[in-house]
Amino acid sequence: MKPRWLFIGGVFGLLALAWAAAMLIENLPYQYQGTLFEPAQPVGDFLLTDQNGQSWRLSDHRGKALVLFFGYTFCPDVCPVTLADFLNIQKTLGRKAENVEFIFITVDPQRDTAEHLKTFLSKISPSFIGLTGTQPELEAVWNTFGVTVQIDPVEGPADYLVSHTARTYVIDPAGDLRLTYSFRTEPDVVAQDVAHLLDEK
Amino acid sequence: MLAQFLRRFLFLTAISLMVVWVVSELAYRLIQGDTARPPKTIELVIPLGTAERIAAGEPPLEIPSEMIFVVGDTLLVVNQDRVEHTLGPVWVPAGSSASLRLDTANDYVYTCSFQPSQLQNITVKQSANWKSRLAALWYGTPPTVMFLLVYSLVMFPLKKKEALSSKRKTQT
Repeated sequence: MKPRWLFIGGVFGLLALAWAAAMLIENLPYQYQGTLFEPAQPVGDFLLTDQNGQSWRLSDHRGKALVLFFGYTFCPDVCPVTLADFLNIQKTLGRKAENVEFIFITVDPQRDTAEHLKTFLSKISPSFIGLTGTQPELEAVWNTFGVTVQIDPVEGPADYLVSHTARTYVIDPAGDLRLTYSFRTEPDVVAQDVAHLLDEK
Repeated sequence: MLAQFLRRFLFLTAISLMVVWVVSELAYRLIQGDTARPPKTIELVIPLGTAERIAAGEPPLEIPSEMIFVVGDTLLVVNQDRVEHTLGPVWVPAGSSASLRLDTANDYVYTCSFQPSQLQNITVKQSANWKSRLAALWYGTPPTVMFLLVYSLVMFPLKKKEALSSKRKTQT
């Protein structure tokens, strides 16, 4: 066989191998990078008040993926960082972000009124939803998501800080809890998982 | 001279490949233990009544205090207890299961709700598979070749053409 034909055969062989490898990678099942609930965990319905003073019921938001975080507006560290990560997740998702709602549920109902949440979130992203409620309403929601809340008195204008769970939760469009992420998980990681969740049939 | 250098280079490359392979294989066997396996799902079951045992100051049943994984393993936590449990980033409500893929080799000490110490050691090791073996050769061979080459050139300098030919003449 002439060397030229050997060369052409080799090139075609390599292309066929590359195509086969691409097909293999394409068909590999996606592996979620967050903590995955299998089977998905049903979430009991709840009713809270958003930053506009309107009622917000979980079951009214089926069909969209929900990214939830529990925090408070006076938080000096974890909450602003997580909300900044939410902005990055939203940006990374691009047009898919239209099917995602970013929700901030307060752990400090005493100070986080609807009005205060509105002022706070308008500086970060008006598209984010802030939820508050009465202490018993919120406690029921915290228990659903395993959120611990502890008031720590401090000296100074803040009067007290709130120690709280810093986990991010993702609820799928069917309304079930599917994923959680620890504090400071890379926004790209969350965005990839959420994008895939939206593509699931 | 160039041909002589290339011959020596190829010879030392072959030697280096063998040396690096043997050293890395020995290191894997000594350090890694039973990690020469593909990633898999490892189940951690939290039995019913674990929280009650912990509250009573008793150790939990059937839960090891230390767990060893390889990169790519999935830790599946099955909570059969009546209350929720947490293991570091993994939160598992009562009667449900949650899984986490372990992507980074490290020694983790996680806070956890099902150990009397409230801590769980998790070690994630690099799997000794064909990829890591190739990586060892890829990273280990070039410096070994360079080291041996420099050493050989200092100890056994290349012979000049004239010297070689005169040597051959004297031999004949």
